[in-house]
Amino acid sequence: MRMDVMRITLLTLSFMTALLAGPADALFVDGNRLYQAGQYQAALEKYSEILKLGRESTALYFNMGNCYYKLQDVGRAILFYERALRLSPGDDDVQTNLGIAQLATPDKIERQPDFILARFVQAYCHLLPKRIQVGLALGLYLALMAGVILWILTRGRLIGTWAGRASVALAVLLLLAGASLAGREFEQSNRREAVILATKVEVMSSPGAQAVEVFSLHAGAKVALDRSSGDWVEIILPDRKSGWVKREVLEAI
Amino acid sequence: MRQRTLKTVLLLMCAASAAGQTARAADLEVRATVDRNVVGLNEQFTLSVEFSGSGASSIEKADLPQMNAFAAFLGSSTSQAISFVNGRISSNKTIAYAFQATAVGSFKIAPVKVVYEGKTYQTQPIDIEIRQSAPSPPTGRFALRQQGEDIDQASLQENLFLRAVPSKTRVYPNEPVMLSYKLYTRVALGNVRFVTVPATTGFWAEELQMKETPSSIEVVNGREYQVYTIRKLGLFPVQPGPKIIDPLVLSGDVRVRRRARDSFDNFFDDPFFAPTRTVSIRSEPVRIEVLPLPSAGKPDGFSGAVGQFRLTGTVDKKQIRTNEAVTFKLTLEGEGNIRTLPEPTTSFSSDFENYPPKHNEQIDLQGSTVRGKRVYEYVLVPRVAGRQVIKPVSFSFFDPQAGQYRTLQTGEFAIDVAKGNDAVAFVPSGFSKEEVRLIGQDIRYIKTQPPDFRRIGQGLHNSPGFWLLLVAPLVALAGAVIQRRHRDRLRGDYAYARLRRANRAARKRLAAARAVMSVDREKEFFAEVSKALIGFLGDKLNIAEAGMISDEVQSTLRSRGVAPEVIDEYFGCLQVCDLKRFSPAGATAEEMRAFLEKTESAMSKLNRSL
Repeated sequence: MRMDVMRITLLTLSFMTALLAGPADALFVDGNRLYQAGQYQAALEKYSEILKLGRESTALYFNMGNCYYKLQDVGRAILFYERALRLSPGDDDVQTNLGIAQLATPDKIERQPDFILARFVQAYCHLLPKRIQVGLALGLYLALMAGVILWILTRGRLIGTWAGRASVALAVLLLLAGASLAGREFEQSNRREAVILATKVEVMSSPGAQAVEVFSLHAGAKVALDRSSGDWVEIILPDRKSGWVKREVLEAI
Repeated sequence: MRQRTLKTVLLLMCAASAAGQTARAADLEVRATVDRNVVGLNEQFTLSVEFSGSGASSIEKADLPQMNAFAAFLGSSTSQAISFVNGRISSNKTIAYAFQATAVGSFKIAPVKVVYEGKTYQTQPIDIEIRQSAPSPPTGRFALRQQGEDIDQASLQENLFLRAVPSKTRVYPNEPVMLSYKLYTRVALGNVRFVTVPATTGFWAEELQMKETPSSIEVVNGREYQVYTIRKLGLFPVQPGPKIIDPLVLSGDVRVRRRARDSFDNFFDDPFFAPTRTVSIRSEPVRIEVLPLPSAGKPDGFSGAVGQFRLTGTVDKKQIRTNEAVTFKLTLEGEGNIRTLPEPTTSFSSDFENYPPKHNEQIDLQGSTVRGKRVYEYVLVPRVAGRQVIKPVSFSFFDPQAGQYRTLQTGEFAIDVAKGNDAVAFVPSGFSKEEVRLIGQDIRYIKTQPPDFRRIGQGLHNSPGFWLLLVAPLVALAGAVIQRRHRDRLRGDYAYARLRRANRAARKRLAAARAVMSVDREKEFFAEVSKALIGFLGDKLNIAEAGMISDEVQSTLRSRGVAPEVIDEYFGCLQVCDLKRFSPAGATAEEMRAFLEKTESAMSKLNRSL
């Protein structure tokens, strides 16, 4: 019975998606044709219209990144490759092109090693691909619920005793799987990152143009966002350097 | 097929890395030369170590062999030439080490060693010969001819002497001292030769060239002398402390006999015909006190330059494109030890790729002091478009005349950098292995298959299927609980509930009994214990307490497999209770406590066997 409900829901969802994706597909194909012809600016316009429809995909962001790269806008190319990676972290094409685009950026920032416990937690949270993590947690949850229901219904009999024990074991596993998934979700929701788009940015020690210049960054540098104050946002580099820049020089991933 | 491709790729990679290795190895070439192989004692010679190849610019120093036995180190200077060919940098660097010969004989300069990327490079050994009498300035040059009085031995000292005149005797390190050797003569002198040229140990020496020996007339102690400046040196002290320069010894031929002065004899008034005597002329030793530089007011960037200098900076272009080179030229000119001038400290923005500068120097040894200029050329390659600024460069030196430090500064240069044609064509240094792998690659082609587009911001948390999967089991769970309750009530399984609370109820009653455990309330105590025993049995077996008949209960217990001794113990306790409740005989507190413990043990035994 439950399986049927699931199947129906999934079918409905995919049908709705297909219905809405019609114009998006056409725009995508148009964009690809323009890219092929070397009209990168026109291709970008087509791709952007898909975004305006409220649709996104790894391939769309990847192609837009390629357009910007060809137009020699390394900052935006990196921004869109990063967006594509947000959707599919393991995509080989995206990783390769991002690496090539990063070659053209002048900033070489060394990543500072993290605290060992944080590294351990991070490794644990990323042990499995997210898709499998979600599937595992969901499966364990369903199995646990089945166990508990069985235990309630057969309590006082031998089978009930075993159902109870199995439920406890499942609960422990679910806790472990759930913690890793939760850790990953937390990290992703807390990871507010941006890419510098302005050609050159002076990073200041505090908000306001009269502050002291701490260092400078160039288009394509990926930074983490922290506090904000008026027009100014605080950025943190992978090597832990931080400073303030105007909000208009960067765009969040 | 796939396997084959993989194998080919692996083979290619191996070949490429092997080729890379040999190219690496050939990247540096080292050569050592001396400016001359035959040197006079106390003369200077230069050992030049020349590096060529792309690794050359990163070489900072070479390991010189031990040369203390025959030479004293004076100082070093570095010059460099860099060329760009097809984006590749090739450079040529020369480090010149100046030495002074200190011992006579034939010596071998052992190989110079350089370690570069873990590999040691060696040069060929060099033979050098140090001779007692240097191939000194030609004697004929000082064949002075003059009309003087012929003189006898006694008055020679007064009429012919040599003075070593330093321009200063108290100087700072690197402050120039001009040392002039002046020959004072009132006699006819010819065929002057250098016999001993003193060592200038502790000084960097520059010999000033004189096209002709200047002569003048000076009056000393009321006598008129013809004065010849026969040698002039620019000396730069290396270290503070007292320094002594030994006498210079000359020899010359002097006419000793007086002649008649008539027009005829004038014909013979010539060294060629005159009877002459060879005399030795010796100067006094020169004492120079080298003072340490004052520490007060020493600027941060000071690195030992002393003298009078001017600094100018120029750029050859103000508008260029990215990845093109602009040359920033720094010129230091003035009076002082030009050859050992430290490089001004420059700090170029990281937006410029920059290379060690090429420098050259021009030294003017013609005048009365050592002056010249040193030009540094920095090749800067902007990597980023926009307005780039070359910050002012400063240079500090000590001005010995004013006795204070001075700092010079160039102006600031702004360069407008337009975007070059190809963003990735020029490959700056400092790439990681991973990055090198990507150099020269084009980006991968777009994804052509229309993907499954999804709503922006759509994740699991807003897909209904996910929530359905989460909530459905909970609903099922609630259903199961209700179903179970319903079934239990239908069955009227009150016994189950009683069984579950039997232990708790018994504990409660025993606690009540313990509360009344005193000699004056013994009846109450035994009544409570009795209630606990009966109540526990009733709960366990689901029998009403009122209808409990001892025999019947015992047989029920036996039928459920309880051991007879457990049953006997339990009912023994019950009997004691009844006995004590209705008999007048009193019990002590200890008896009561012991009985309570016995009851508890009987209860737990029964509980375990049920």
